[in-house]
Amino acid sequence: MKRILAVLFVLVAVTGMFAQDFVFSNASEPTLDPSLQTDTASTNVYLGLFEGLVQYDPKTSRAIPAVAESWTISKDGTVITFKLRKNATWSDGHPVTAQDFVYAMRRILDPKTGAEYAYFPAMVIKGADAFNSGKGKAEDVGYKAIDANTLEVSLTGPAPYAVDMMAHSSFGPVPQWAVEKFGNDWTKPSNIVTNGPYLLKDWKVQEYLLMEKNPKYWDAKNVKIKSIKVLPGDNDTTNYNMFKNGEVDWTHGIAVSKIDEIKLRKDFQASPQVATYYISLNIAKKPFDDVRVRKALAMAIDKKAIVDKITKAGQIPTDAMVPPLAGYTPQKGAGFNPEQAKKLLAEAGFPGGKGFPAFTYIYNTNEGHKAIGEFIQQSWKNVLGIDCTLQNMEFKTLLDLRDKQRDFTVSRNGWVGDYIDPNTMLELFISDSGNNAGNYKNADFDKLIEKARTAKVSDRYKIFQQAETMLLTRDQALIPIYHYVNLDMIDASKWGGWYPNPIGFHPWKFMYKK
Amino acid sequence: MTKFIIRRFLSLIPTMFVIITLSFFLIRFAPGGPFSSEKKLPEAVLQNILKKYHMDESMPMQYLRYFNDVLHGDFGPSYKYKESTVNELIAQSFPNSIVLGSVALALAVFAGIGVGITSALRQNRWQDYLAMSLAVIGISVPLFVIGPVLQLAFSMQLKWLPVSGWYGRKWPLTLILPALTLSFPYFAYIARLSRASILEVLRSDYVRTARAKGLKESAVVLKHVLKGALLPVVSYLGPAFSGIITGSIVVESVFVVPGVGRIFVQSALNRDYTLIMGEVIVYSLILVVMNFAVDIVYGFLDPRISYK
Amino acid sequence: MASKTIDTRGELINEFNQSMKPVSLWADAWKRLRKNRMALFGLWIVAIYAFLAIAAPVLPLYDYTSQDLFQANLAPSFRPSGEVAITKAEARLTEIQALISEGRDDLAPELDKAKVEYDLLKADIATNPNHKKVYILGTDYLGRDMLSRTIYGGRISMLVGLVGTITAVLLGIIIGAISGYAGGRLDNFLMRFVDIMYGLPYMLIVIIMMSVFRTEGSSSIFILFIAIALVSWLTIARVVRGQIISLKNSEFVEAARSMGASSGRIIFRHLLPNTLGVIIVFSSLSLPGFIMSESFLSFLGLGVSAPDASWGTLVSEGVQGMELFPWRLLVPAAIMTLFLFAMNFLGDGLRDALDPQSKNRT
Repeated sequence: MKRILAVLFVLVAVTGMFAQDFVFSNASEPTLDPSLQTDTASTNVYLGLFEGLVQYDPKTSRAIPAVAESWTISKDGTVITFKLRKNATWSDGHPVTAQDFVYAMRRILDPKTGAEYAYFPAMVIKGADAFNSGKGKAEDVGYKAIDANTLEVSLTGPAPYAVDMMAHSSFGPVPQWAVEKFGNDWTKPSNIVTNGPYLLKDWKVQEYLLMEKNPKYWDAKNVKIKSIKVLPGDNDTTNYNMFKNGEVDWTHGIAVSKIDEIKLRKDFQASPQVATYYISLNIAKKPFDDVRVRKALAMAIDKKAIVDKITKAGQIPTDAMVPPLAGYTPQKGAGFNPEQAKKLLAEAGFPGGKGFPAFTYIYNTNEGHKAIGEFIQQSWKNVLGIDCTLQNMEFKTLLDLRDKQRDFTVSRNGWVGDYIDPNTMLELFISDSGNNAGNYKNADFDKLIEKARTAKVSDRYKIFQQAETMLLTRDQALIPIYHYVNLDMIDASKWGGWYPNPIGFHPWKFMYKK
Repeated sequence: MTKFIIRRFLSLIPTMFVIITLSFFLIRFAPGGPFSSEKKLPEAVLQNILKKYHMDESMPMQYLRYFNDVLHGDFGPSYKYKESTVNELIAQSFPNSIVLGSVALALAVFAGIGVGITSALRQNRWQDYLAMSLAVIGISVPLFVIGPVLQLAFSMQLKWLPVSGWYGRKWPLTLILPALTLSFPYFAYIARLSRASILEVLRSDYVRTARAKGLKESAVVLKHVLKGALLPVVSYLGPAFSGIITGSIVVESVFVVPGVGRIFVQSALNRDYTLIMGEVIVYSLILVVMNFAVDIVYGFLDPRISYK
Repeated sequence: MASKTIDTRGELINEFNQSMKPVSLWADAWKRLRKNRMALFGLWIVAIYAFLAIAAPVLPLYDYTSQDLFQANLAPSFRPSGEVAITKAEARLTEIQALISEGRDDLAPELDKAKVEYDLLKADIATNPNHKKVYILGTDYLGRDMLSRTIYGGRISMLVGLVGTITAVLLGIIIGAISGYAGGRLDNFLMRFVDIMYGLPYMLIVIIMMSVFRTEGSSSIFILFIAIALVSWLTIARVVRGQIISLKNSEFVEAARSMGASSGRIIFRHLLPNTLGVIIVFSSLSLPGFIMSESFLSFLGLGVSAPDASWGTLVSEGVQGMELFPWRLLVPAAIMTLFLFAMNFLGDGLRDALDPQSKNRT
């Protein structure tokens, strides 16, 4: 037995010699092709392998120069001219040019590519939506290469958040020659051509992905970590155990059930996100069409208790949809007020909950959603005398029921903003939005959101505040519960250049070992 | 016998055909599709994607297209892992599950039969009670408890083994905990089954005859009892083997093993139609072939069975 | 073995002069079961569980749905919950203070929060009679009584196990026996049908069932039973078939056949009793599987809906926080395992008792 153990330990020692500098638990399998990416796990890898015109500031998540050295915005705010740096190269030696960005933009929008995230640039780039839906031409997309190092981007309106958005992978560059040569296989380790601070060394789907510092990267001297191993394991407890044992240096997401212990660790990081956990009420169904009923339901829920005693990870209780942003004051709906709740419900014709029809609260299976649902169920029962059944289901069934068929009464919902602006949190409630599960229909609200699209930068926030007042203060179309926080485990005393930030992306090139 | 084998073998073809056809339509009948997510895609974007994967065609057309591809050994692209084909994904993950499953099953068979024999020969003595209690625990405590508990004990407390680490290729250290976990319920099943059938055989006439002939007890056990007693174990091994090598979602998730089990559950939850189909086909193929093999082995193991 | 037994006529009974009394299989089995201590123990435990499950609503238990966030995650104790909560809050305060004195200044807000929480708890204890409750098995994440949750959870789980086992045994025996006895085409057809059922993606079938039969405002427990019954019989059918095949050409079957017994009689009177052992072992082995598969199905959305619980869901909730709140895992797991133990010993006892080869032996 002893001998076997000795052999085992030698084996471990030998294999351990090829250890990497940094191990990151990504919690999901990434897609490498920037045009086909759909999730944060992919963006995390994108930030190592590719570099867009701009990238996320590690502290504020706002755009900072990357391949573009600088940019200018036209007076009316609709045209951005990027100046590309001359020393940026692809891993095969090609220089990175404006044409690469034009190609990538046309590729992601091309109906034949079938890119899910095509909608993202299509929100702000002129002509993009038309091309993507087959009504326009590629040449009319608002991406023009003036010369090799100048790119002119035309927007649909003066969207001040457009440059911030462009740090996202869907705006990333793609090497045309590699795509044309290898087709769908161009991202395989042997074929891939990248321009980021790291090179793809090895990739075994479901097992690991290995990135190594790119010596040809224009800013290579400032890239500190030599190699990064990215793991796709999605088991929170295992990831946490690995982190505790030093097998992993950074895990994205935490083991929620161990929050009492985790919260006291110095390597636990929580940072407010532009994202809201809320409850959708189906306004098309009686008696939820009555605003008094909706307000009563909202007033019966003690959101602070949910955050302090159930989720416990530093989430921010809220009565608004938009989280506080610099210059924007969120407009609140009804807050916790049991007495007022009872009164409103009685006014609506259900004194003490009598005669209130039985309904179901649906949520996707998850311990956290379950605990919140159970708490809300009990609150409605105790405060209002209303009975509701809880029903969990797997995620895609819920999506089908809630978003597609809209065949539900009350549902747990959540929305993560794509960029830092009220628009990303409010536009989902316009009448014909695919994400407007609660069927909120208000022409005035729609007009306000539309108006904000073309409004002057100084007026936009005011318009959004009007819209949110309508949505929540007046109509209580939904019940916001809390604003999400990004939850990470990383030892900040060991690793520098990693900061808690609102979008939750952490560019690798800034990270270093202390 | 030969005729039986051939006939039995030919029946695999319609079986596979029915499984493929039914699954194809069942999968598409489930609510939600591969491209639904918390953020609903704009209609135009969705149409582009459907077109790309020929999902805008009529259902029978899609079926014919798919069936044709399958006959040519092409399971199509995965909708979720967009840069991999189903063939690649299965080829990558399957060997891992086979390694894990075979080790676990080997452990389970040896330990299970050993414990089963001991327990049957010492019926109603402490060895029997101990062995059977162990088996009951093995079968009652779910894998999602055994896995984390072993992890807690051996990785977190004792620090003997890595928490997970298939990725690190620290063979065979990475294999120990998952294989041990996975073998538990199979061990319990086999121990209980073999005990029961050995008890039965011990009382049968031919064993009595063997004993009466004056054969040594060990010879009786080895030659007669074991052979007859293994039948239920063998018929259990068919589904068990196909079950164990096609992966265990729990074990693969807890120990981050890049196997088929994890992919299978994820693909079902993602409605990754092609990937589910690929896995269903591979799994069923193994299953029907295993059951075929079991039926044949039966004939050799049990002299009482004759195929007409 | 029992050479002192006296029969009704007062004669000494031995191995050779045993009279074959017309005792039914069951009466005979019951007689032998009573002599098996482990089986009796199992029977008692099962009876107690059944009693608890049926009588739960009238037992002096706390409401299994009543929440109190002040009492979340309390360890098992015989003291009033208010005291336990205070001890726990104090321990938390000391822990944070200790960390701060080690230089963790960043925890200051956490300490303030914990202090506020502590004061609120003290104030609440003074007024809220809830804090006089005693939770001998602790509480869960919403401050609900683990004891009553486990007992109520047992109702569901035992029912699931029962339904699963019954359908598995009935369907499995019938199909397995017919298949094995008939042989030939019918056998091939039935077994290929079993293969197909194995092969189809069960998860998606369940998802479809749950979305098709969903009704607003009611739980889906009945569909859960159907979902479990659907696949429960597959393995047992294959095993029974295997046994029947190996037995059907043996002498006693030949004898029965030559005496003109019908196929049904041969199967049910001669073949099945001889496979009973394996069947019982298999069903007691599958029982845990059914009980746990409920927790997997409830992940997909079939099964008990919160705040109701089952052993499966309690255990799977408990396992995640097991280092911090071990009782949340141990309580339901231990109670469930004891039940499964009892069922197993009972099953073994039944197997021995029903063994046709020991029939009429005393």
